[in-house]
Amino acid sequence: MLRILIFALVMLSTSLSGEEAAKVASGTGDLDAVALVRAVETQYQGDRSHGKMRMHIQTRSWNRTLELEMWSEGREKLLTRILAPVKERGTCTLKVDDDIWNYISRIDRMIKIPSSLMGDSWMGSHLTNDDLVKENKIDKLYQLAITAQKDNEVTITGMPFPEAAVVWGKIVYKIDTASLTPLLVEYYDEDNVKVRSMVFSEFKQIEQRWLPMIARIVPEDKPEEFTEMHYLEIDFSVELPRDLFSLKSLRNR
Amino acid sequence: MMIFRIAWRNLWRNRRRTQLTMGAMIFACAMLVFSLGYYDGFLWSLINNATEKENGHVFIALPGYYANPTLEDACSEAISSQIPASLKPEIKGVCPRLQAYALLSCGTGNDNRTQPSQIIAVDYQAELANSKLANDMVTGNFLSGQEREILLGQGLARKIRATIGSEVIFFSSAADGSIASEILLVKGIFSSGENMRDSSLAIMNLKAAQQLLALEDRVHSHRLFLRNPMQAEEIASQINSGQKGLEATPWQSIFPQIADILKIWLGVQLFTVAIYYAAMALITFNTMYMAFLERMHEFAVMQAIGLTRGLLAMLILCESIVMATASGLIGTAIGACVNLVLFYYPIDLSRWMESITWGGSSIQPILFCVPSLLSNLLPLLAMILLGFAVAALPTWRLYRLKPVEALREG
Repeated sequence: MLRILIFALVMLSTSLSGEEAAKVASGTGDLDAVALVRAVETQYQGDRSHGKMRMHIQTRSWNRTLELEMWSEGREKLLTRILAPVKERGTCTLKVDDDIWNYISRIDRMIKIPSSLMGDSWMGSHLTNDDLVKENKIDKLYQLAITAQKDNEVTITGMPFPEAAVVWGKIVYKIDTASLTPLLVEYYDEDNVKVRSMVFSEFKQIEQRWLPMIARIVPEDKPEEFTEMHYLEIDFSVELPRDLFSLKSLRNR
Repeated sequence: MMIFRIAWRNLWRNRRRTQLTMGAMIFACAMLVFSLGYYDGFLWSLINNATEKENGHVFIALPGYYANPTLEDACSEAISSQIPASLKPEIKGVCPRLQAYALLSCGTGNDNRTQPSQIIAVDYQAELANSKLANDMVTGNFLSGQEREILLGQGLARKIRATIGSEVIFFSSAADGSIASEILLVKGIFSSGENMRDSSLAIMNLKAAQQLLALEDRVHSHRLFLRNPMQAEEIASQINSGQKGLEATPWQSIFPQIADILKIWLGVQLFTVAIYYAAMALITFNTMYMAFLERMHEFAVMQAIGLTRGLLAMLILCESIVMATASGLIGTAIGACVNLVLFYYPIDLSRWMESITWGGSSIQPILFCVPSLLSNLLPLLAMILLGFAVAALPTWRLYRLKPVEALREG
């Protein structure tokens, strides 16, 4: 989910390449959505991050709060570890390229998530495993185009390429070009019916980047349910151990 | 009685013709009895495979659970007080079940294989007493109540490369949202004959699943096993009218395609009888009519010496009915014996044929017959009616016979 936030952010964040950022910031010139995303992706490749977040999940039958620690490297590596509740402390999710592994601390075992389960819920939240794998490849999987622009708000619509194996039929981003932050991401199914929304709020400047501290995901068919991710801390200039994103390291976390 | 004796003697005046005709009638009747018994066996196999292994005859759960099952919608494990006392004699047993979806994983490192699976948690003692789940074991043994044991469908075991004694990781979400995880050991591998089901189904102990899924003392459903499955709709209706906290669904609503077949079953049987006997009617009619034409002169003489038309007509009718009844009785006896043997000793054809999944149940490659009063009586009665029918035209012609003209022609 850190990567989801990062992706949404990097769509038009302050970490854009100078040329694209300048175009957006000035509000002039024809914006190229693909170039914009690629610039953002290039910008983030090789970057590292470390952070902590609180994830609150509200469903019809239960609600729970998880505290997570996260590490990321480039666009392909992500590691999360549950800090609380105590019962689940140490349970990790490792994502390397297109593979996802879960380490279950209670039984000290690892399982690999099969590709057929990418659409399933991640840790009981309203995020899916696919969100972890695919959200940083949007420019490769979706044809992006700027479809609306009003004052500082730009709407980018992503339609999947015919050969792309994706879950969503359409993705719509709304971005504030003044602060260069995402405001909203909407996910549609193949029938163009909105399935869920991700709303960003509480923007904060960290290391010259504007970041939304809160992201809230709401499924359209169950509006009383949501998953809210709240960043407690995030650091983009951290040095990470070389073997951090390995199966071996999961047990040692 | 005299008419009967004359009729019987007449039949054997042309022994070969009568033997051939009766042989064909006996064969048709025996085949028909066997076919109807086989159809009944097929239907009962379909019903039993759908109900007695997994579903039960009446499915009891929280209102709405059957249509939209969720992990959280569990009811109390104690159900006895919810069933009216008047229904209890009709109920053979009750099996409580939990149902969940989980990842089952086997192997380590690059050999790790993980599959999404449907988990059914059962009270093994109740299942052994009431359902036929335990009959499907192909390797290992059925559950014995040990906490960490699990049974895998044959296809699922193949997919995750698990064998007896393998360690399988259970990973899912509990009803309170927490992570449910456990290491289970494969106790047995089953094959229900439904490949789709076997490639995703696993069975574990109820108590262990309740603990894992944070559903202590709760279950998703109770499956009632009845002494007479045909009473399911009536019993479900009585349970539903008695209280509102639970919803009872009869198997007929769960497997509507099978229930639809039941509704037209008598029609199917009658249609089968018609097909079998259509050709038979032509053969018998031909025999009877030829016998009539050959004996036209004889009939004229008998009428001339004083035998009334009515008695003559009765004679020819009696010949036909005696032949049909005798054939029917012998044919029914042969067919019923075959059905009885195949009821107690069904023939397994799985070496040559695969099972087929249909209507939520499976059609097993097995030659199995169910003898019933209807499947025995229907061909016999139809055969007697056939005797009447084929004798109708000769009788009518005999009734209108003019002796002088018949003698002149003869």
